[in-house]
Amino acid sequence: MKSSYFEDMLDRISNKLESRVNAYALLLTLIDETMIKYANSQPSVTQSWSMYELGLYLIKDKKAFVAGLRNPNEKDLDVFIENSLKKLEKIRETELLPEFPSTKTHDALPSLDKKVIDAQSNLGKLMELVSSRMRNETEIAGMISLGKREIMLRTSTGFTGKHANTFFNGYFRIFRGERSGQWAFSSTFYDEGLVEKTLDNAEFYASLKLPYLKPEEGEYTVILSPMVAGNLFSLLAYMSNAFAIQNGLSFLKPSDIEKEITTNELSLYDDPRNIELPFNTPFDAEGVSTYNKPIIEKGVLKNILHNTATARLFGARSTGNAGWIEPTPWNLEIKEGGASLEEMIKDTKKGVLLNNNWYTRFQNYTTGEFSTVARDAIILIENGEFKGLLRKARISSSYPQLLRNIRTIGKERYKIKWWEVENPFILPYVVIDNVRVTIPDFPS
Amino acid sequence: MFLGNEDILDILYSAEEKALSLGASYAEARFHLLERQGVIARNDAIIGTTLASSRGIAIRVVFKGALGFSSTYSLSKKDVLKAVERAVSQAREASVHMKNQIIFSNEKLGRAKVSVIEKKKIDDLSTEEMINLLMDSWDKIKSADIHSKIPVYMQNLSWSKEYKVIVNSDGGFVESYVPRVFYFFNLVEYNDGNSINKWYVFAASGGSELAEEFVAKGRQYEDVYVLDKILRKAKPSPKGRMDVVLGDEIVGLLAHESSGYPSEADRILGREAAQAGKSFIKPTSIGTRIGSEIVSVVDDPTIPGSNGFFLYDDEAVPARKKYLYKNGVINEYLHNRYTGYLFGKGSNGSARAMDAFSEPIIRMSNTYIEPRDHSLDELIEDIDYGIYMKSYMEWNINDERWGNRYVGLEAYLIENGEIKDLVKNPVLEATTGEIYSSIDAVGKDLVFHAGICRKGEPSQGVPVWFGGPPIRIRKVRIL
Repeated sequence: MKSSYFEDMLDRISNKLESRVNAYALLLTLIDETMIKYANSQPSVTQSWSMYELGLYLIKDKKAFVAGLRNPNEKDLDVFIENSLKKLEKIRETELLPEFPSTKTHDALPSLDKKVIDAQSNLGKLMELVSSRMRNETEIAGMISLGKREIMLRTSTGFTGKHANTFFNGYFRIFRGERSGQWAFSSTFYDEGLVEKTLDNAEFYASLKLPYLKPEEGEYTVILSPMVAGNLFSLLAYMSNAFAIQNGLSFLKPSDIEKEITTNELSLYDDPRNIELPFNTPFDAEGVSTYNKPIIEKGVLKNILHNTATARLFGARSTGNAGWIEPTPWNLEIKEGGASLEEMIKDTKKGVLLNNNWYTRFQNYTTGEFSTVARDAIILIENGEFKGLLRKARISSSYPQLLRNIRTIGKERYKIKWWEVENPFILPYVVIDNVRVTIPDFPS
Repeated sequence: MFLGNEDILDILYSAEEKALSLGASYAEARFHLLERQGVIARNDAIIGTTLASSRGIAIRVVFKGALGFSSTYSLSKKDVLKAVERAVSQAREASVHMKNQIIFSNEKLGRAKVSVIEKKKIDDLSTEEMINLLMDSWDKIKSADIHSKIPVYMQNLSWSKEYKVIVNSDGGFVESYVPRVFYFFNLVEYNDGNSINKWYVFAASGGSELAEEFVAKGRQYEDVYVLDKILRKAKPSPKGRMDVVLGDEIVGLLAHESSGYPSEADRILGREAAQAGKSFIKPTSIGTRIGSEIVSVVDDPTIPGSNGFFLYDDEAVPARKKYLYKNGVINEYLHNRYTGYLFGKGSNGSARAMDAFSEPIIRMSNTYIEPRDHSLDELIEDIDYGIYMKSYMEWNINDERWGNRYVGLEAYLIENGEIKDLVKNPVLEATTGEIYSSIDAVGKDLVFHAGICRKGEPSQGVPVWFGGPPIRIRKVRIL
């Protein structure tokens, strides 16, 4: 269906709500996506989705109601809206009351690539590219996802917003015997070079001809690849949102603003205006204009992420990160440092380089104590050189401890998004000292 | 309620016919509707009241040995047939790159309607009642006679209704309706500069009667006292090799993480290698000893009232109880029709899809260590020096499901067969083989816990239970 169909739908709902509530927002998201999933060096499934989601945010007498519908037809929609309005009458006042801005329009953020849309109906070229990398001695698994996302927002204060962007994301894990490597990419634009580079990086880590060693567990300097740093720092970005802080899901406190929480090497940004990455948007879910902002700048916590409702509660201003109820980061960025990967390795006396990780879990969200499991290449470094591989290892630490010990930020950056890095993230390798690494007793 | 809706059936059968006419050797069409209503509260404040509905039609085809999936929001026949064309066209493009063709096992498929009958209709649980339950719960929590402060008591209560109609070209036809209640709390306590938190999930299939059971009678009213004691009284945990009793909460997680996941046949074959990973279990591992003779692990979707309940899977294969590990030996994998064909065993009904936008993949349902004969006292009385880990917060496992880590939250020192002081955050790190081989006694009281299990790309979260009785493990490593 065409955009005009949905715009008419939003007009009709707006008219219906106008006299029934004090304020409202309507957010429509249209997604058309195609995905090729690989396993055992062949496509395991091709998938495609055509879907839309309608969100209703209804406010009356300090009461707020959020409703979401995926794929309703018109008849369902009318029943759903009436049902939502009835429920709104009966609920209690909320602590998180939004205040939609008075701006009516927004600037454009061009981020559509026709090549992505064309490639959706001609997957053969991408499949050829991946197939050309198949080797007898390697096993390739992974996925490539591409498509278009379009959002339309209306608010009772007269805001009308529309934004569309394409996305081209993927990752590959390559196995060579018991060794493996993994890498990922994310972009707004079609770029076969990203697929090639991702396969190259995964293959590099899968192909290291180093012996397996089992060093003592203890404190090490760790070099986090952008895959690992992407996971740990996207969790940090999540924990910088006001909802997480308010609900015991973060070690950060409102009073940490303007305090030094890490070394001055680290600058972590929320970048909704970076059109290179696919979580770009000129406006948030409440119609507030977005802007790029530091979460941490040179070690100092500069921003807690807010929507208008959490901002009201904290006595702050919205940072353009709505999310209804819960603020959300958009694209993420770690500013580049000065070191090459070679220099980072050379400067490490006793360390491990982690290619990838998963399963980060918290013992205590309010203290930030956690552990995470390394996977794929885990490289032991001694006196500036690769010495061997570890079969298994974990990082066991806390966020305050990690942040205090960031030593070096790399200069070359990568655009990452995958299972464990949900927000598109441009970032380099990161070096952290004094990280507790546990190493299991038993080989598999 | 759509059950019996002729229009939907007509569209599903038309989709199936269309796929076959385009050359597909297999076609499947699924109408999938999920409705959910919930309330989120923090202390005495309501922070979210939500209603969500998701529906669509999912198409899956096999074309010349390649698998294609397509999903559409539209219920118009024209758009659904377009989705069929898309699935076939993409599978056709993939088919030239297939080294090993996808073939499904022959199965006697279900032709059935399954409906969970609620004691009290799920719709009867109004938003007002949900809010009242949550507010009463906060009143009870905040009036607990403890020394610590409670800065945060976050609650999320919701109910859901899941309707499905599945038809496929091999004759399968299954309609199902499963209502569920879900409740989550996150409790934070603070004392003298230290803080602690515990979250927990309650969920089951059934009617609105479950809400009261979870919110008004749940474990949070004990946890509020336990956390206070841990904050004030827990001593540093001993380290080294020692005997450990794991409580049912950790045993359930253990069954899920290191028995259920590695027994998924698609994982064993590498289909999830780039996401959830592979498995320490290999295609030839059936019959291999993994643990002591007293350990059996079951996956059973047919348990009435369970969170992972179904009687037919999403390929219309009848579901049944499976012994993943039987008397310490690897016994059976979880199969769908694809892996069932490859292993020559047939499917055991383990294919599930989260919603209309998800392909059916092999999933756990309700996974548990089978109970035996020991009371908790009997498990403990035989230990000279060790730890009783009753609950946890942090855990993880490597992607082959071999290297486990469980960090105790409520945990006690055991000395001379008696439970002594609380100890702080004991860390158990051990391999799956080491843990299962070191179990020398299994408790008799089976308790289930609820969770959402994640797998697939795009990631699918499906409702499950995991459980077990307390168990005793000899001489494992505490960090």
